[in-house]
Amino acid sequence: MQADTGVIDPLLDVRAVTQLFRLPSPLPFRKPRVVHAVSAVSFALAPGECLGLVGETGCGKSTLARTIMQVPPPTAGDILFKGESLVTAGPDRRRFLRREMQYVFQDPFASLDPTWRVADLVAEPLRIAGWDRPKIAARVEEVLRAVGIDMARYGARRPRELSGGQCQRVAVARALALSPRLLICDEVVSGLDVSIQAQLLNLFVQLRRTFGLSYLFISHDLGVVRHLSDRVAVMYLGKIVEIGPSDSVYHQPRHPYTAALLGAVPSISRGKEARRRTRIQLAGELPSPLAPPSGCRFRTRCPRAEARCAAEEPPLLADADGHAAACHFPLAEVPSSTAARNEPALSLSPTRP
Amino acid sequence: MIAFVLRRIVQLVPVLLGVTLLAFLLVNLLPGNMALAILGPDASAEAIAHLQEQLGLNQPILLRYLRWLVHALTGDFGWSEIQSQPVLPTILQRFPVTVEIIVLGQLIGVALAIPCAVAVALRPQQWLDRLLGMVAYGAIATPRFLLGLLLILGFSVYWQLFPSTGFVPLFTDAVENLRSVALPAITIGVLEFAVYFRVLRGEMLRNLAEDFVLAARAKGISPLRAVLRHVLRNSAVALITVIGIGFGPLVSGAVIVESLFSLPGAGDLLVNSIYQRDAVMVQGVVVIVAMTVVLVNLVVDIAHVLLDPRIHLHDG
Amino acid sequence: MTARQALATLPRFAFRFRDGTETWIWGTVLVLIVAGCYLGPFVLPLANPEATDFANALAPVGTPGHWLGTDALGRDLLARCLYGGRISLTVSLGAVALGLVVGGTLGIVAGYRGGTVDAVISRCLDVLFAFPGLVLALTVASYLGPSLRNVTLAIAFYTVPAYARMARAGALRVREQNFVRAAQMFGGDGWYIGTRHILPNVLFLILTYAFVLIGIAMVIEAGLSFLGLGVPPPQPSWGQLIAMGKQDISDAPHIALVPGAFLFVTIAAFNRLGDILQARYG
Repeated sequence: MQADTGVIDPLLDVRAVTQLFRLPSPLPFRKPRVVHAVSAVSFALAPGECLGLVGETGCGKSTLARTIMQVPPPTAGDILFKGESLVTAGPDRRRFLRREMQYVFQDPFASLDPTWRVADLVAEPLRIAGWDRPKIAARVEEVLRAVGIDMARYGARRPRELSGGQCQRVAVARALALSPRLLICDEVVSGLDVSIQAQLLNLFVQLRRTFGLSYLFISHDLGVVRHLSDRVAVMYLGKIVEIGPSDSVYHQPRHPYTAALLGAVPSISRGKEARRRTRIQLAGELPSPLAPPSGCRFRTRCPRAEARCAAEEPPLLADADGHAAACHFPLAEVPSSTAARNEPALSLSPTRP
Repeated sequence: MIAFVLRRIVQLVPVLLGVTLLAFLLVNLLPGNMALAILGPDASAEAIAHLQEQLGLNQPILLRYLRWLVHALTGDFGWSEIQSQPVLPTILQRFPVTVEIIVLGQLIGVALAIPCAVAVALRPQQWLDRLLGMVAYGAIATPRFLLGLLLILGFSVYWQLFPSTGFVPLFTDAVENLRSVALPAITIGVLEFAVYFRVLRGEMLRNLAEDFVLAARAKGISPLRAVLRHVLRNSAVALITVIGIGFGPLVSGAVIVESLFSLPGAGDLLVNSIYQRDAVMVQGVVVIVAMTVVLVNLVVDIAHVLLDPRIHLHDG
Repeated sequence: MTARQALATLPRFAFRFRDGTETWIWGTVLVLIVAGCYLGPFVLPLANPEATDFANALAPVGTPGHWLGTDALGRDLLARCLYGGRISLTVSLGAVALGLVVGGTLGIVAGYRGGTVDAVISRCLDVLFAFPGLVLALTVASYLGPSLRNVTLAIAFYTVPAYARMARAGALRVREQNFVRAAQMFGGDGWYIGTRHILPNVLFLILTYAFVLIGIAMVIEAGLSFLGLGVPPPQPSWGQLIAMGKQDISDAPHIALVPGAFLFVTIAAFNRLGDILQARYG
């Protein structure tokens, strides 16, 4: 299903969501310090679409995802699901709405209660939603089959008696139990063996087709995201710096940070695509989210940063394709291998095969 | 660092207030009439009512607490009608005895635990390790008064080395003083040894497996020096922590030991005041003891941070 | 709190028996003592623990008819120890059960809810922890008046905060686990998560801790009894029996040592079993 955010009402609409965390102050009676985990992030997700969310560890991806699930609710901004605000909804209504959006965690062992059995784990959302027993049993078997787990064989086992891949399948089955429309997948394949990763990714592709799911697919692994996503959003230090159709973002990154991330991905294809990419080396460390840089947050590590970047925060401006980048000096859209040569003043060096 | 200390001190204020309040409520709210205790069971109802009036026992409990607290802050913990003595000076007079047996007990514990743990660290899982492990286990399962009785049986009934009761003040006769506190201090010291030894052994065996010990050995340092210089030093922090945590239980032990050996310490004062239903005195002892425990824990926490280079205080 | 962490990592000792063998030995000892105390008076041909028999006074251990000897009044020590053990065990088990239920609940609530609730409960626990166990129990027991129930309550003043601290630490750890977040996202409320996720995951910790605490509770109970503030006669607990034997320690040490041995073996068995359980499953 191809996304067309302009026409169809979005399934999920995230509007200027901010999440701050207060740390206890080191001295009594001082102002608490604030972590800016997510700052004014906006995006929309169409029904049936898969949006990939990438960024380094600690950039706020997972916090954003949890904020969407209202655990905890955002400090500011609004989140609309099927046109209805989750933030202002009453607790019962929110609980009801949330049934159609489900979350899958990174570490399957940690997201499954070790004292529970597989069948009970998958049944948990159904029990909380108040289903009756026979219906629960039938549904549990159904979703377990959908993820390729045999109920008769594994239903009575506990998580530690399963492999990592099996655990993640159980976690996915649990997320599918209430027939959600949106699945938020938080680093669901990292930490697993590569062959298991591939199997799970294929499962996600297949589930999307079978159940007509939308995904918010979070990963630090751009290869994984690309495999699934229609669109990709790149996060840096609590902000989305670039968002757009996957092909466009991967082939013609506009934000220097995206270019740097892509440069960090080892490419197997040594053909045109690899040659066209410019490599940006990231200098220094991720700044502390306790005191994010003024203006553009990436400027402290950006090779193109100028005075304006510190003074003025670049807006996230989209072109006609819906490809947007928040940069005062975006990389030019020159789809040729001469891109790097055109801008010799920059400390960019083209990757040679 | 200063911030950490300040924070701990600020956190301490509500705890100390709570300690005084709880002690006050325990003694004043629970059944047991103070006036009756002072006047004896034969007192007339009028006399009791009169004394209650006189002692201010008819006023609201919180008011009485606040008044007591204000007095206590100026160092006045009240006057014991039953023992006809001011509370604080009486406690302070008894305190040195308690401190003496506790400190001696801890010294015995440390003096035994360190060489034993070093010996065990040099040859872990050998017969000595197992033997000391069993001794420590047995000591921990033995209530102090039982151990004290065994020591009395051995050292004062059988061999007659030390007196079983009585106390000679330090400044009257130092040698006799040590003889009179020898059994109480050993009683305390044996259990302390057991606790210290177990912690130190575990900590040393863990440090022994660290790479820096291996590196030291690779440089050609002898096993004993490696254990002393690298392992013991790194394990000392845990020992200090345990000595600190053990202080509260140690006071409990001191109460028992003083009572068993008839030593005129603070624990003995507490028990006797309880027998005599001397509420004012009980309250004073309990508050002072609890405050001491809180302050010792504060000192240990600070020492812990100062001594352990691995602890960084980001935000406390 | 650095000090607490250090306490939580106390090393575990192993005598290097086969694990199973040792568990069986201590388990059997414990079952024998507990069964002897609670069932012995009905099953065994025990003498009346209060019946004096001056003809057989101060009989040593091993005397036929009085296998563990008699005291100065000729009372049978085996019978007195079994009857007395009932008091010691009932008080300690009761105080630990109270601690488990009340303290465990407080700890789980504080650890899971966090924030102000946690701050208030934690400060209250700090206050209780400032009082050495025996000092607090002494004060409470003396002012409540001696009785089985009151002595149990007095010792619960120690076991409740001890348990609460333990359960709080466990709940804090479990709370950060993703399966709790998942349950929150499914819409589980505090009660649901507390009873279905937090409790099952700290239950093992709580149950093994009971073994350690029973040992401590028995020491406190014995201390109270020894000081004459335990459960009043005519039901002398082990601590009181030892205290009574103190007068005759030079002539007939067995009067104090026989109940002392019961106390020692019972505490050792509880401690050891607790350590074995923790080492194996903790």
